[in-house]
Amino acid sequence: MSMNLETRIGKLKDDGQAIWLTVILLIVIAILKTDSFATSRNLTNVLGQYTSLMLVTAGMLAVVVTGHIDLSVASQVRLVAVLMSGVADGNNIKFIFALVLVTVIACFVGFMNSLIINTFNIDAFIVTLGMSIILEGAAYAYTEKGEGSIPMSVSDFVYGSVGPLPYVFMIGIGMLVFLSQLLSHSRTGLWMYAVGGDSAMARRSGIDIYRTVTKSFIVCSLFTMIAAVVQVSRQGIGAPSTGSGVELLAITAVVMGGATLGGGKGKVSAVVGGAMLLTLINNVLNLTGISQYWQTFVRGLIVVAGVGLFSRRLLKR
Amino acid sequence: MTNRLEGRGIIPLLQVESVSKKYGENVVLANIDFSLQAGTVHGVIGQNGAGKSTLVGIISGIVVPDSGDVRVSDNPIEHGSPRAALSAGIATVYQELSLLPELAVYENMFLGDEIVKNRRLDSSEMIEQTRALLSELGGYGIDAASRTWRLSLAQRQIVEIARCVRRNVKVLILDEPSAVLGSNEISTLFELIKRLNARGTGVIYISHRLAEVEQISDQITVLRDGCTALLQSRENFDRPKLIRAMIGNESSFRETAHTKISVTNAFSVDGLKLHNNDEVGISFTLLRGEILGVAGHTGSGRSRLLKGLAGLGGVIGGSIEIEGVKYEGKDLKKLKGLSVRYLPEDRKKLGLFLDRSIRDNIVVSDVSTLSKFGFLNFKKIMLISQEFFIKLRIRAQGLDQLVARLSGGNQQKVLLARTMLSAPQVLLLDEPLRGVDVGAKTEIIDAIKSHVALGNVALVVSSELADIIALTNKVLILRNGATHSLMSKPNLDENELALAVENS
Repeated sequence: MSMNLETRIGKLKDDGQAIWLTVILLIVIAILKTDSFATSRNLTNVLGQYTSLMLVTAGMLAVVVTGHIDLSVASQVRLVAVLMSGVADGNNIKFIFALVLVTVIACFVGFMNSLIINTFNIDAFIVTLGMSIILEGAAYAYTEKGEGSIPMSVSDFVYGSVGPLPYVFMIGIGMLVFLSQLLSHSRTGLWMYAVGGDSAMARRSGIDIYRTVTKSFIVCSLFTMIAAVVQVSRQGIGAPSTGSGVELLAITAVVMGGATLGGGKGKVSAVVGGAMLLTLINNVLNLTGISQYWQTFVRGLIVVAGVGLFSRRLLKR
Repeated sequence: MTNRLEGRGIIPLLQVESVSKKYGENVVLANIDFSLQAGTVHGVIGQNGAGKSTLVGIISGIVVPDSGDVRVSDNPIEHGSPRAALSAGIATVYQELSLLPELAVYENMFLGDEIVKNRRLDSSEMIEQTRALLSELGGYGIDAASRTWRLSLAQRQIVEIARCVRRNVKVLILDEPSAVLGSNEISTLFELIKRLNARGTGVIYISHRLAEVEQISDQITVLRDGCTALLQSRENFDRPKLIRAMIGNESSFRETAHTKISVTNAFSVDGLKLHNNDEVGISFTLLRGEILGVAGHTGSGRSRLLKGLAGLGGVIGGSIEIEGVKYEGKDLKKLKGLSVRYLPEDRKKLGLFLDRSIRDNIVVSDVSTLSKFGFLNFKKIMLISQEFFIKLRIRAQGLDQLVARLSGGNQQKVLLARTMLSAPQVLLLDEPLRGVDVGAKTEIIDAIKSHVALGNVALVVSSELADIIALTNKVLILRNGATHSLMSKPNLDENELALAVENS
């Protein structure tokens, strides 16, 4: 009986249904227990906040699927944020230029992460941690408090919405659809799962491991870059503290969404459910009005419980 | 050599010419010549460490040889490139099956060579082709779209072979293909090999089961210490000669004398229950010096019995008695310091620390008795691990060598050394002879027997009935976690035992 239950839970987790059911449950509780949750303003706000974490999480999944991890995403957000606001400096034309610049930087960072991992055969954990420190240093060297600003027109766009759905959220969903197609219906995606599942075996099948891993890191950096642009546009000015801690949130979301850090498993639709859960917990705790410190405390408890419940530990094969 | 072949007008499908490989000072292959004709099977046998895996590695482009050539239909193949070997038509099915369990069968079939239409994977086409190919090879009830982890081991192996067939493989290397198969499944495999032969595919069949190799091969090469010790063709297969060539000297293949059994009860199990059902619990008694074989189908509770006795849980009721002291079955999990040691079934996953030295692996369970005030006593550790190193004839460069670099048989000896280090009264051995070649097998059997001869007892689980016969005095056949029957020598023979297990 208990085995039966476990396999059933496992099945739910496979498709990410369990995590979305929990999200719905939390929404129901929030609607019943708070007055302000179901307002259009709050929903738009939640989805706006969610978009950044959702994109970083999806990017992280690409790396996790190949059996690696990217701890440098938070510092990538920092650097992109300060550069966007510093270079754009309130000007639309310069904003386009800044966008091109950070795109190039994102590709370069992703490429370097994978180059170092592949060439020297060092664990991604160490390499991306080092990269994180380097980028953080670069961001602070550029500006300590933040410089310049994002053009008003861009900020207006970022806060704009159709009903409760922000434009950026819809763009983000478009990107998720793209990533999910890439992972499950393209050769590159299949190779990512294969490399993460068993790299020796992938090599024997004639798969180019280096190139596959490089693609996954570049995808991750590009998604992170877009997330950072959204984030800094909401803030108006990019401070080097932007994005603090987002790497751990994204990894938590990925694990809650049923991916394994060992690689070879994970679905976009499920891991962004993890990101949604984390965002909602934050929002609901905020609405309850308990003190900030206790919020942090409770959030920690919920994350541990959530990972325990949703990660693949229970799923025995 | 080349002249003679040209004279006969036959260029072999695969030709390996004077290939050598050294790892440091260790010569693994010395000037090996090897050839394979299209549509035939060439068996390769040899003890662990004889160089079989290295030869396979070189042919399939994973290992770079120090010298020599590999040719397919007389075209030299680039060394050290799995891709080049694949495109020349060489493919290998490894002992550790290498399908990705999370992918669908058809995805595994096409991995590295997918069909893409408009930049998207053409799944329906790949599924269709997989179906067609599998049914052409005999079907075997495999669903092309199913996740691979749902398949049985035998089915997965067929998928692997089918994958090679799909790639128009000319040379198929099967590395210990039968290790994971039951006897029915082996005949299915042989059928498949014959079909491939008919299509012109050459097969290199590597195994330590001599009988099988004899049955399927047209030629047999025996490797020993990196050299070709013998090459025979089907018409003059000669088993004693093959064995001699494999082991080097016949004397180590002798039947060991049976040890004397004393009349004192050393170990008894009374009504041990592994299941909460109406079946009567398991009971048996062993005298000092006795070995009990445990047989039965997969899932009959063989491993569970051993785990339960080892204190790893799963015992619901009953009791055991060691040297006259009684212990409740339910308490086994909590008791410490019992003179019982357990050797798990899967040495790589459950037993060994592959990245540590032989010495560390031998002493790891007993470091507390080998240390003083919490610090390791290196002198003692060196002495005792040296003793077992010699006693079990572990073949390695020294105690410092990493276990990962040992052959399967030698790894098993290291694990056995750990199990026997504290001189336990009860040895619980789960598949101690699995994946071990003939030479190492004899040595492991000897080691177990001499440990038991000191007045201890052992329980041995094995799915190879011949091994059970070679090792044991009594056989317990289990079904559904309970006793089916208990057989004992002298009226124990392989056929009778096989029949009893089959009927259980």
